[in-house]
Amino acid sequence: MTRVLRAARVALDIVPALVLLALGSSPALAHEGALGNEVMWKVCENRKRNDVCAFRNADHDTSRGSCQSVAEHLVCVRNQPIERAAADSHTHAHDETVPSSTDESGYGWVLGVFSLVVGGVAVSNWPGRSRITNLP
Amino acid sequence: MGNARFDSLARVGLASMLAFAIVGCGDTSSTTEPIATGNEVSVNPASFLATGLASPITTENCTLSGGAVTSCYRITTVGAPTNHAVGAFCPTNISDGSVAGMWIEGGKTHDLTGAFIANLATFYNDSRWKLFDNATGRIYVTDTQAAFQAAAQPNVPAAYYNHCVEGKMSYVGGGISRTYLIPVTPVALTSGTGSIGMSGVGVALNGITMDPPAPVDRIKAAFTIAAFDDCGGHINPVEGYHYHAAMGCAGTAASTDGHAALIGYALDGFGIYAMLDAAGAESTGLDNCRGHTDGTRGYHYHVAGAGENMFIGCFRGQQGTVR
Repeated sequence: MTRVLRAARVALDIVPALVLLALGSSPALAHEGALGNEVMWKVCENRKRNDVCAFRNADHDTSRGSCQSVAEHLVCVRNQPIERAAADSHTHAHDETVPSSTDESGYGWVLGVFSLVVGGVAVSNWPGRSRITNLP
Repeated sequence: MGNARFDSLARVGLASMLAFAIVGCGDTSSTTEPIATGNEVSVNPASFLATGLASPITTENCTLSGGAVTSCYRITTVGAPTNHAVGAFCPTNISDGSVAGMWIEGGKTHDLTGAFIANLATFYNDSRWKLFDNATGRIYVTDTQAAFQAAAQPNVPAAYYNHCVEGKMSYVGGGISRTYLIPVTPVALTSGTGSIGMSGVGVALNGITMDPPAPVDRIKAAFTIAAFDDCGGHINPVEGYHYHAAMGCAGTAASTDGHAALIGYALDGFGIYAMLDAAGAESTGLDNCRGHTDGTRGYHYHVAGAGENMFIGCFRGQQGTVR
């Protein structure tokens, strides 16, 4: 019984860290891309086939897919319906003229690990923790 | 003390495992499951426009890219669309307000007008773009066969920098016939996907080649516009007239259930369908190649948008040949 409670306590402790981790690995818009359809190719530079990718077109619509080899070069092939800018206006306030590329596979893990560390520290000082650790 | 140590170790260990599980698998790479047996629906040769064929479609033995020996359709095309005109491509003067062809950039299609050509330096934020004569407004167009052949090669001579490149069907003998060997029934790859190479994507129902995109930086290095017509096609000296975008000109075989229409077949024999269904919606659940399976059509592809300058992303079956 004690072991079960202890396991439950550990699971509860890591929830905040996991939330932060999930935020850290979410597909944040990372850097500006080149003008034009070049962004479809540039976003897959230094990637490998089947890596997830995303990019914005000139209207700031977002396309998500994977890097595929086409005509001997990697290009981002969209396989999800285009996310129209009008339905996601909060992501475009930083620039209204230049299409952006999105790097979903580059540094998300760094932010994820950072979030894990921060989350671990946070849960160690989580106010509710003392109540939980007082369980038998 | 022991319990505290256990707590700490358990927490770090469990969190680390979950972190790697989430980050490691967290959408950094996408895999494609093999197509389930029985979802390979045969090519329907009756879907092709007869006028686009140089001879009736026949059947013969063939060996596919993965080594499978099977039966293939021999499809020989005339190399010229018979259901729509070719061109126009380039406007002739920057004062020309009418729409000639189109250009694909920024994920969009753009009407090629004189004003668009005049604005290219601003459009590309590069003053080296200047495709017209200041005094007359005349747009530099490859208006001879020699100019077209020079400007349409990968290494464009400096004399043809800043040109709108267009060809005429007469430059390619009225059309370059091509012969496809496409499996009667697709042979699905047992693992992975096949890359789209220089052989192209497939053939439209009107017999026109569906080609993959080329990296844009190459195309633009010489400040040339390789203009498309309103059907998303243009001419090169090797392949003749071919499509780079689906604009509704390929000839279609309508679906009766509201599904998008069939517009062609990929080199692996799987059907290529339009992007949108009858209600104007795009399919969800597409794999990396832009394909999926349903109970009527089996496995099939859906093209990307015209502004994406692309049809499909890869092959899920062993490919036939084209020459």
